Amino acid sequence: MIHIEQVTKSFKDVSALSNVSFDVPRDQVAAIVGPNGAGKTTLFRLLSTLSTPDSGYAVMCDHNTSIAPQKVRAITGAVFTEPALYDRLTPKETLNYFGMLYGLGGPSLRKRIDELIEQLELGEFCSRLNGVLSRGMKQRVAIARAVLHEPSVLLLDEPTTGLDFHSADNMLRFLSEYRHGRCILFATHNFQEVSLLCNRLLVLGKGRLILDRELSEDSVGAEGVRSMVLEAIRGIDS
Amino acid sequence: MRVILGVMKKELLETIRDRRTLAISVFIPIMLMPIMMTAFIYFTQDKESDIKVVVSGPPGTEAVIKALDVHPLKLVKSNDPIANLRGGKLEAVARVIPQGRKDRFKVTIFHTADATSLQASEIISARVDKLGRQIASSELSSTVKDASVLEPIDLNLTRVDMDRQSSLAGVFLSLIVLIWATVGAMYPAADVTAGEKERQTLESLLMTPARDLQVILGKFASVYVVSLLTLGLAIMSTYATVIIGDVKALIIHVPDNVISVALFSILAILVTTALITVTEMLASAFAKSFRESQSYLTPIFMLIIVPGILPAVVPKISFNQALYYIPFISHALVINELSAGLINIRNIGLLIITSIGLTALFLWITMKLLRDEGVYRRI
Repeated sequence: MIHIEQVTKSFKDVSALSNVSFDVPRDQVAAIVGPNGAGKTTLFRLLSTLSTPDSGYAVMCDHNTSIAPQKVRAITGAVFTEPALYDRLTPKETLNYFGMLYGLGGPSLRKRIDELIEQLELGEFCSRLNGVLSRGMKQRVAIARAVLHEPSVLLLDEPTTGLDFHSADNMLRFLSEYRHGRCILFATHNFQEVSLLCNRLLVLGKGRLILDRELSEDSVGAEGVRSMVLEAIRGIDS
Repeated sequence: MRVILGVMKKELLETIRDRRTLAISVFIPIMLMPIMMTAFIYFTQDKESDIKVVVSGPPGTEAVIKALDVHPLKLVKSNDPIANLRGGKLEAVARVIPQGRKDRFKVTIFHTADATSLQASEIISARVDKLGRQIASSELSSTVKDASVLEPIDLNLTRVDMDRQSSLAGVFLSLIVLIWATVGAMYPAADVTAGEKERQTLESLLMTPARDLQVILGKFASVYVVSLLTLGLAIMSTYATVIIGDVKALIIHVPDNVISVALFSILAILVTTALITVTEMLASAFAKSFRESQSYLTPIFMLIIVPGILPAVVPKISFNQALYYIPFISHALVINELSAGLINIRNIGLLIITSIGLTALFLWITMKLLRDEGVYRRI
C-alpha cells in the first residue's frame, strides 16, 4: 500500500531524508522510531502531500504523491502531535466540515459521524466548542477526523504525546480495530505502544533508514523493541 | 460550488463566534461613525456661527454697531480688545469714531493674518460699505432722479460647481469605503490565512482532496462578506447621522440619473472591497502567525488609505488619466465623479477591470503561498 523509493529531501544545506526506501503492505502497522530530527515528520509530510521529495518518489495505493496528490489525499488520513482543531467549532461541526471536504454528505456522512462519536466516546462533549476540550478529548476528535472517510492509509505522528494513560489506551484500542484491511504508519517514542500495536519496526537516524524489521508477536516486548532501536542508533553514531 | 460554500459557511460561523472580530466589524462602525460625525458637525457649525469681534464707539455710532451685529459676526465685550486679538480670543476689532456731523463716521478695523480674522475683516468692510451706500442713497434720493447713478454696477455672485471638483461628500464616501472595508476585512483575512497556520489547522485542510482554488475562494467569500457587512453598517450609521444632524455639506445632491449613479457606485464599491479583501489576505498569507500578520497589515492599511485621500488633497490630480490605472486612487476618483452625478464609462471600466484583474492575481498568489512550504515553514 505504501511504497517509498530512494526518497531524499533537504532543507537548504540540511539533509532531512536521504535515499529512504521501504514498503508497507495492507494489514500492517509500521512503527517509525528515531531520535528527534531523524526525519520522521518530514517523511510524514511527504506522504501526506504537504511536501514533495527532492528526488525519489512515494506511492500510496498505486498513486504517486507528487503526480496525483489529490487521489492520495482522498485515501489518506493523518493525525499529528497537535490535534490542530478549530477552537470555535464543536466536534460535530468539525466532522461535518471535513466530511464535506472529503466529498461526503447526506445520510451516509451523518451515519458515519454517529458511528465515530460512539466508537471514540465523543458523545458527552460533541456539542461543546473544541477550544474548551481537554487535550485527550481533542485528540479523539482528531482521530475521528482522520478516519472519517475510512482511508486506506493512516499516518500517525506521535498522536499519544501528552495524553494520559487512559486516553492513550483508548486510542490504541481503536487503532488496533481499525488496522484491518488498511496500513498504518505510526511514529512514536513509546516502545510499549510499538510492542502493543505494531508488527513492523522502521528506525530512522540522521535522515536514513537504519533498521527495518518485522515484529513477531512472541519475540518482542517493549524492552526488546528498545534494545533493537538503541542498537541501531548506536550503530549509526559509531 | 458545494465546497466553496461549505468553506465560506464554516469561516463565517467561526467569525460570528469570535468576539474580537464581531467588535471590530459590527460594533465599532455602528458606534464610531455617529461619534465622528457628531464631532464633525460640532466643529463645522461652531466655525460658521461664532466669529467673535469687538465693535466699539461712543454714543451716536449705534447705527454702525447695529449694522455689524449680524450673523456670522458675534459682538462681544473686552477690556483690552487688541491684546485679545493678538491672543487669538477675538477675530477682529472695529473702532467707530463720529466725524463731526450726523451719519459721518471713521471705521478702523484691526485684524490678524489668520484666515478667520481676515474673513471677519472682510465681512465688516462689506457691511460698513453697504451702510455707507445706504446713507448716501438716503441723502441723495431727493436730488438724484435716477437711483441707479448711485450703484452703476449690479454685482451678483453665483457659485457653480466644477465638473471634476472633489465634493466633500464624494471624498467622505470614498474614504469611508476604503477605511471600513479595510478594517472589516483585517481580522478575518488574518484569521483564515495566518491564523490557520498558527493553529496548525491549515495542514489538515490542505490534506483533504478539496481543490486549493475551492478552499481559497471559500475563504475569500467569507472575508468579503464580513468586509461588506462592516462597510454597510458604517455607511448606514454615517448616513443616519448626516440626515439626523442635517449636515448640509455631506448631503449628496440627488442627480437626475440617480439610478445609474447608484448602480455604478455600488459596482465600484463591490470591486474595490474585493481588492481590499484579497490584498489583506495576500499580506497575511506571508505571515506565520496572527500577530505577525498584524505587522504586515498596518502598512497595507496606509497603502490603501493614502491614495484615497490624494484626490481630496490635490483636486487637479483627477485630470491625469494614468491615475485611473492605480488601485484605490481610481476608486476615490470614480466615487468623486459619481457623487457629482458624472458617469464616465471609461473611468468606471478601468476601475472595474484593474480591480478584478488584481483581485484574481492576488487570489492566485495567496493560494500558492498557502501551499508553499518555503513560506509555510520559513525554510
